[in-house]
Amino acid sequence: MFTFGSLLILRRKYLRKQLLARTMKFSVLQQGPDESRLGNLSELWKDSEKIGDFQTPLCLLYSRAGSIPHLTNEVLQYLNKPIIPVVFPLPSIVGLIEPAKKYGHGIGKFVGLEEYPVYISVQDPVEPAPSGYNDKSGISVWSTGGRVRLNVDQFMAAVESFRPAFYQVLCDSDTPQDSSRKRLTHSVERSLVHLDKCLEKHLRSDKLKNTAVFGSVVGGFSPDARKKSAMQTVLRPVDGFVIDGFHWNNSDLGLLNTFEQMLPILKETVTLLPSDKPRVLHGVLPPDMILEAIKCGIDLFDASYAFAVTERGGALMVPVSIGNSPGNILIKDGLKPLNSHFKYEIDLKNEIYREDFSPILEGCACYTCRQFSKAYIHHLLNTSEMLAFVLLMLHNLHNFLSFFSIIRELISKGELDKLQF
Amino acid sequence: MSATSKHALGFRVIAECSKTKGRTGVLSLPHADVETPVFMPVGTQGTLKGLLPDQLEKLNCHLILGNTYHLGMRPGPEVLEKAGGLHNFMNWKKALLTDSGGFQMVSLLELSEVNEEGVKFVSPYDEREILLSPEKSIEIQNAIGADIIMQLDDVVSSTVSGPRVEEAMHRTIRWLDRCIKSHQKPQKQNIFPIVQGGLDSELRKKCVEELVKRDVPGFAIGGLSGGEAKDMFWSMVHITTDFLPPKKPRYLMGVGFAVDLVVCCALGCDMFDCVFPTRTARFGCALVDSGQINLKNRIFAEDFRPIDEQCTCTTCKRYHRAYLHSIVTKETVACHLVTVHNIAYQMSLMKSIRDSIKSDKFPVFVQEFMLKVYPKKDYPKWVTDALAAVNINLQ
Repeated sequence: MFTFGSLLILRRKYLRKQLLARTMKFSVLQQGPDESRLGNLSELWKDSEKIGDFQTPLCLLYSRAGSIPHLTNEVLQYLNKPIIPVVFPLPSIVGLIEPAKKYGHGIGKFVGLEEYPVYISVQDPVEPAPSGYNDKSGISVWSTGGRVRLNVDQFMAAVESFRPAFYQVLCDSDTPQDSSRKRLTHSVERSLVHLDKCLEKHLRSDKLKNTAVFGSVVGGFSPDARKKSAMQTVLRPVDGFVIDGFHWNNSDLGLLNTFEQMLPILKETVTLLPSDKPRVLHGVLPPDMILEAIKCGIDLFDASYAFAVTERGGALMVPVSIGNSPGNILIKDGLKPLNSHFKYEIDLKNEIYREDFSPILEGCACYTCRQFSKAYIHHLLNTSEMLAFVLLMLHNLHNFLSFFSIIRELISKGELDKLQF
Repeated sequence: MSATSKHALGFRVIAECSKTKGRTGVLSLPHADVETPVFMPVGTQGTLKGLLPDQLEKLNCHLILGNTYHLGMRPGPEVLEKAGGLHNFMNWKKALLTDSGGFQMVSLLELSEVNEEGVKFVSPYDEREILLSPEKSIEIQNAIGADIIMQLDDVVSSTVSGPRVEEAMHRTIRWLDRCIKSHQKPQKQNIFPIVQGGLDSELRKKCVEELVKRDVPGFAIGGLSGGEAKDMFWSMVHITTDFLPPKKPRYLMGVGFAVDLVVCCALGCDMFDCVFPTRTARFGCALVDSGQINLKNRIFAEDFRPIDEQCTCTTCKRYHRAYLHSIVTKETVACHLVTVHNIAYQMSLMKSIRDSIKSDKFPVFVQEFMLKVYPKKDYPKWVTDALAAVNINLQ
């Protein structure tokens, strides 16, 4: 279905687009161990202003229904971190397509996050998407109101009304581990068809002239399907890649079991991608898996893990400083698992914190740790008070984002190998 | 400061309305100076419904309420004592007020029994039988450490009449003496007695006469705002404030609707509390001068105006109704946003009242306010009557 001639036409058209493009820039600043790299993402466009630079590996903020979960814009500022792009999973904002179109200033301003560059992902890393609802003409996403079908036209109309800085192109990533060959073939081929159609619309859209496009590399757990998807996608003028289709949009532990099998495929897939473009991997990934994925060459992640931990009343305890400063765990010693399932968190619902008036993590600079005790958060969880989740979200986000800062610092010092779990 | 030095409270009236009984002043408490009339949002379990203490301070809210019944159950007085009081536990630097726990006993628990000893109830958490006596209430409130604490009163529903009301009034006075006697921190915490007496003006008068014999820093007016007819409500408030000494603060319990607040300020009350503004926020209802708007309503789906264009709260400065419409009752963020606005609304209403009293324009303010609420001038009779009783003519 992809003849040489049609590809030539594509390339000619795309070449022109690349010359005219004012979108996102990415450069690798430094190579780390394995395929890891320190990168710089710049010139993200928000309306008519450029935003950047963002150093990678970077954790994008995770939003649902247009907000960072539990945090109003006012409270988000207590995070005291620089502006970071925010992931808006399409399923959680699909109901806002029409109002955002009428509003006319993009989804970021619509939801009160106008300072933050917007990135739209096709699925929600936290919400399981039921299998078997995609077809030739489009895909299904699952919002709070139920299933919503989207074809290319509808998808691109949504992107135009949301006006993101960058977005993941419509793709069929419904490939659970037990997918048939036929399903994998459909996933790869339909995703490429969606990509070409989306690109065609994208190039003609005046509203999207500053918006960057990320193509999706799909193919589930099949190295062959992945290879085909990657090799075809890199021929298109995309600004970055999303490695999608491991079918783990979920916050439960099922993910942990498939990670080992995913890793060699991820590694192999990334080697087929050009090094001068950023790569995204979504998912509720704990720090050790993040580190492995970074070593495969992934640059961008999302903070859905911090949200998932918050939802179960957990507080993250990832070591966030290098060396032996008081209250911090020596990185070179690694982390002892706090319990078998949730290695990096403590369960603040536990009775043992009833009279523990110390902060979650001694030495942690986050607002929650500077102002509140474990005993207080335990009480808030115990009484189902909403402030529990506000305080946990502030801490968990701070801790998770700081973990990424540490990774960047270690890569720049050539010391990433010191970080071991 | 007019209060005697043995209380940890000063109350200075700055200005009085020349027509009504309204007044504005400063209530000096160990943790904050609070301008009156003041509305106190309710932070039942040691948190104000999802807001950071810092956000409350930024809203100029310097006095909030905690519930002794809930805090006594969870986290319990031992934890609060070890934390160094509720201020430390919840990291709230401004002033706190706690109720006695008696109201929740009667309103929440079916199995409560009241006798001279106290209120007996079965714990909903572990089914133990617990006695909340006046001494126990004060013991818990001492552990919580609020700036103002309440005596345990014998609460009777305001729809009950007959000898039970008189019994409750007398018992409330006996319990006050037991509360004062067992109070361990009078130099740090101010205990308020509660005027009872149902809807009987003679009983109310008798109750006040007894209470003023005790050396107390201020007074609460209880047993109202519980479903009684509005003309009874306002006339009881009116009578009670007539009897109370003018130099001490008066706290009208359980009142928080905007119209009620404006009327009761005119009747001479200084402090108010109510769960309404924060509770209604959780259902997606935002307070505006014409009453409240339910953001769930479809008419807001493409309304890109803030809740209130005049409002300067962080919600109105950044968010519009269309987005709020899409998340109310679904996302906690929506609760937080509407709660911030509703508290800002209450704070701004009280400030307008205070400012208008200071410039002696309170009667005009009341007229203008009521016209905004009732643009067709279809004022409820009780509002017209209550305001006429303090020389404001709405017609």
